[in-house]
Amino acid sequence: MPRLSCWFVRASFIYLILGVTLGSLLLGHKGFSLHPAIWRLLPAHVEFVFLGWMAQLAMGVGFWIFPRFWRSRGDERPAWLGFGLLNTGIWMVAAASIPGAPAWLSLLGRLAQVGAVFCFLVHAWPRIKPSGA
Amino acid sequence: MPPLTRWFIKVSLIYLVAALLLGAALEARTLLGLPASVNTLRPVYFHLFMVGWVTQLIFGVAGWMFPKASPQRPHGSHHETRKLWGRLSSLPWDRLARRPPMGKSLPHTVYFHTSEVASWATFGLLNAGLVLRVISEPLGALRPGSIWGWLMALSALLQWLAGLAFVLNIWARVRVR
Repeated sequence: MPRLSCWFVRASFIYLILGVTLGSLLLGHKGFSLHPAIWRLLPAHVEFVFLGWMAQLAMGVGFWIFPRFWRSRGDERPAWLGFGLLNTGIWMVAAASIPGAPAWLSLLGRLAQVGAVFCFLVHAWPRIKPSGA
Repeated sequence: MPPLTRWFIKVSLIYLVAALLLGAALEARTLLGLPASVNTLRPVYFHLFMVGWVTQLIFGVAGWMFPKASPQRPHGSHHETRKLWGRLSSLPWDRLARRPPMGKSLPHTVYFHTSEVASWATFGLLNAGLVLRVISEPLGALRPGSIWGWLMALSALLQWLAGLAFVLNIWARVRVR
């Protein structure tokens, strides 16, 4: 597995644990009304599970298994930038649900996520081709 | 395809059908004049889809496709698990938790065949937790403060343990080649 895929996949596993932990707290709260503030964890739970776990795992595995150019995966720099932007964006959007967080934080996080996917796309687009082409 | 992967994939497909049927029922509520309490199934619909179908499919395929632990034990090994425990035990636990330092190696019984056991445990915990949620969450919404609250908490614990077991078990198979 290439180094960047290891980073993507291991980060996705960490988000899985975080997402499931927050989800368990939310479900436990439904059963026992632990604390009203627990509902504020819902946006972070969704963010960690959808983008942190699933999208990040898909990107990591895609980087690993998409067809290569002979032995090279092409220019890896946009994909590395995508990794950084995606994780920055996830934490910005998750932090935006903290009371008192600036309103622009969520928007900036979403823009970082769009940038992440765009960077990954720049890297992966030429690799989506017939094998051996 | 290893047996456990087949279990993960087949069960995930059953959850997909269940999720889509439930989605149809939620859409049909207004058309068929079904009671508003049907809406309590909406979180169940999301989780049947995302946990039962997507996450379970990922768990199954990852166990099959990720780099092999060793030719002898392709889907998990004593050696890999021992390495993971070795890494965990080398962390500065004494400073983090103010406990005496852990030994450099754990008793043989702690890690022996943990990979295979943990893989099946992941499958069992995930599905037990999800089925429990499907039953307890809507009933708990209709009758707050009843036994269903306890079962929801148990479901949360089981699913959390499933996630933890999966990650601890597969972590050592994600490595640079």
